[in-house]
Amino acid sequence: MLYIEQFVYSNKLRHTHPLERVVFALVTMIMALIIKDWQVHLLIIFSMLILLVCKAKIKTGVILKLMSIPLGFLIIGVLTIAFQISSADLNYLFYFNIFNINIGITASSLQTAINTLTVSLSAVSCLYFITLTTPMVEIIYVLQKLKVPDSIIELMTLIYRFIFVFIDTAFNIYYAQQARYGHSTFKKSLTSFAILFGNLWGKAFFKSKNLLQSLESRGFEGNIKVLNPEYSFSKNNIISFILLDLLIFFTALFLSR
Amino acid sequence: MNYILRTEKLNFSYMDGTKALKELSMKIPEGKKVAVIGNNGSGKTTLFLHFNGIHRPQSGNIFYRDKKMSYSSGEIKNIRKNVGIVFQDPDNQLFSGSVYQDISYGPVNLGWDEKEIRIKIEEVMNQTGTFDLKDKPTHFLSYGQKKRVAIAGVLAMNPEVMILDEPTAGLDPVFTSQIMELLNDLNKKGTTVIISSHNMDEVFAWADYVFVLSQGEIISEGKPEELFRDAEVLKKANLKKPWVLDMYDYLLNKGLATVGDNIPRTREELLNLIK
Repeated sequence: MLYIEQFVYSNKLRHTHPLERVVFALVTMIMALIIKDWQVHLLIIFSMLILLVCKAKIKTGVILKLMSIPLGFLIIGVLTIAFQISSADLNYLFYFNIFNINIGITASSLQTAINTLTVSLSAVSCLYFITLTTPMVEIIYVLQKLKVPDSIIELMTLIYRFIFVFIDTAFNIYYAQQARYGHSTFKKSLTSFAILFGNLWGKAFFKSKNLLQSLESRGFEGNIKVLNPEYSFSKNNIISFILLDLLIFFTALFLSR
Repeated sequence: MNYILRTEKLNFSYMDGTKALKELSMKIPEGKKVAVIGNNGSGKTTLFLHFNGIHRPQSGNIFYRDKKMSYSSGEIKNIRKNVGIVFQDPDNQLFSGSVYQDISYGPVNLGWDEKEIRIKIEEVMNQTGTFDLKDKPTHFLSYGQKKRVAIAGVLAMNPEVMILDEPTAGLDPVFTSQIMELLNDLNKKGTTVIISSHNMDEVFAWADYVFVLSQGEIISEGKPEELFRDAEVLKKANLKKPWVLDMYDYLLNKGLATVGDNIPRTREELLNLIK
């Protein structure tokens, strides 16, 4: 997680308004979900990857690695869709017979499988476009602009911040335990982990108490209100995003004829 | 002499029965650089939390500008605006992943105009040298950078009294001197600055007035050059004499230093007085 964080904060698309990126990715994702054509899906995946590599300047290796994570799940899922089980003969393209039951792939099941695969991958590539170009703080800002309730925004803000505080704390405890052979055998490791979690739990309570005190000292009155930096829209970005979406739309229109 | 903050026979104990403050009376002179020194667990943080209205005394009173704190909600708001605390652990204070958001928090709570807040944020960012950090997430900052952001967040509220709980603990020497410099600047603009510290050399060089806290009681107070010469107090509170003063007194005894107008507080001042 920390690994991705570093790329997000240094990506080259960051210095414009986060809303334009998020809206673009969401619109494209909706198109990917509505249009049922694998060629359009490939176009979407391709354009998202190009944008990430050429515009956001994120390393190709990182993106490919990230794309391969859902691929594993997808292939297993898609195989179960592609194979049809039936006792009758279903016009199989390919099948084998066990105990009088036919297991195989039909033309329509293959079609559904490929469609599922490409639609998922294109939606994932849209989501990666958001996660790799927009830091969490800015995503929270966009959600706020989209009128998500304040209490959820506050929770997201605090959780995001304290994930890192607790990762730090947990690793510090873990290293301190390791330095004293706390993880030298499997059994010791189990005990040490139990202690680690117990400690972390206690620390969470202390931290929350201290946090409340420090918030109160700055005038906390029940909800957290903050100002965000002023983001500016980039005309060039907006125009190219619109053109790209139009291209996808017309390609879909052309292919459906 | 005006006293901006005053406590009168303050008593406070925690729920486990630990008596944190015992009959504590002290007066903070306005516009001065004040240091509160004492061992860990002597009650410094508890005392600071009283100044800002977070803790309420179980008995005794606190006065802000000679007005007794009544803890009405309007008054608490006023106190928290005027008395700012920078906590020791910045991770307890920084609640947002964004440096900009965190600094804006106090001023937004004060209900200022958005434009005014943005100008103020920029001003304190420049003052604390955190401007370059504004696009960075909080968890990528070093300890010293977090500390600076925490100071900026309190500074943004324009407090009359700025309290810093061990502002230099865990910092490197360069950054320590930057912080002390910043506190000097603030003080010159009229802010009363209160710090707690374990570094006696730093306190001796910086403070106008020093309180020694031991087990919830003020056991001594005074100007640093007088207080740090009181061997009995130092022993009782387990404190070390600042090296500049220690050396100066030694050299005076041996007749190797001249008596200047002031007692030397820094290495340079001491060197000037050596024969």
